[in-house]
Amino acid sequence: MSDKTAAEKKASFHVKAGDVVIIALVLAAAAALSAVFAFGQPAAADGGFAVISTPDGRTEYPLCHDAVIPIGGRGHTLTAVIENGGIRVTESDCPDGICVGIGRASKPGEMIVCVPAGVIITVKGGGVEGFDAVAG
Amino acid sequence: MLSRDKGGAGYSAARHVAADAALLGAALILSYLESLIPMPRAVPGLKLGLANIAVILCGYLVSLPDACAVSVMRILISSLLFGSVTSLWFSLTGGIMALIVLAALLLTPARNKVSPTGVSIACAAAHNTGQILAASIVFGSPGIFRYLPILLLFSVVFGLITGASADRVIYAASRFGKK
Repeated sequence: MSDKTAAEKKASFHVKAGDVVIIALVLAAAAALSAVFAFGQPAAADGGFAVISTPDGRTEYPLCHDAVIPIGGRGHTLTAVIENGGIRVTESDCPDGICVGIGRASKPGEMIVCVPAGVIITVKGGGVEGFDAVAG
Repeated sequence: MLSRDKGGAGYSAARHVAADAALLGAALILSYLESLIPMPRAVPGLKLGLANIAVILCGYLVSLPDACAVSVMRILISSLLFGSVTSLWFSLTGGIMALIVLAALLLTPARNKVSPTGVSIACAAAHNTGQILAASIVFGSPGIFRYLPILLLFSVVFGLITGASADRVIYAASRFGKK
């Protein structure tokens, strides 16, 4: 391999203007997309969050932080508790109490609804169910 | 796709078959090597894309139709050997997206403005976009797209590595006059 010369070194790694354009485009797309997804993201990468929507508006709570959340709506008062990555309604003074009876919601898409208070609690994902089975 | 006229300078059908078979073999070995390298599970679908080297070599040294054949066969066989049925659809969608980008770069005047490294990065980014697209359809959730930015970031890094490798081989091959 004595014939390896400066010519080969020069040719061994050549970057053209188009390469820079491609890299810039890909990075710009990545930045733009992450900016779009930055809104409404949970603090923890693995966890989901609960969207509590009441007649007064909607609030999001990350499921990775335990919390006791009082919720008011249409003259009723509910108490929601976040623990172990799930949310449930522990107390409610609404007449039927279905929201308490429905139990815990922890998976993306699961909902707790209290019709008398006009409260809807929806779990939104971080991690998407079923992804652990995918390889390759 | 193995016809004389579509190939590079004076390639016979037999040379096409031989070159495609050799590159398909190389692509499968690279897929196997890749399956041995652990990737962080936090980012689903993250891959080195080593087999991309063989596909880009095929696109430059043989012809674009041959690159399509090698890529699709590589995906079908490696999914059977190392993957799953679900991963087949992700890879296939990604592979087709990458081939469209490869065609767009090699068949247009853009060919003279980019090196194999740039082509590799563009193909890697297209592959990742395609597989996320397939995943979002399979899982019925567009939320999977939030993995795309990090995958695009890695496609620049990994595309640089595989592209530089392909670049070296293409240069070495060019020193033999013809392939």
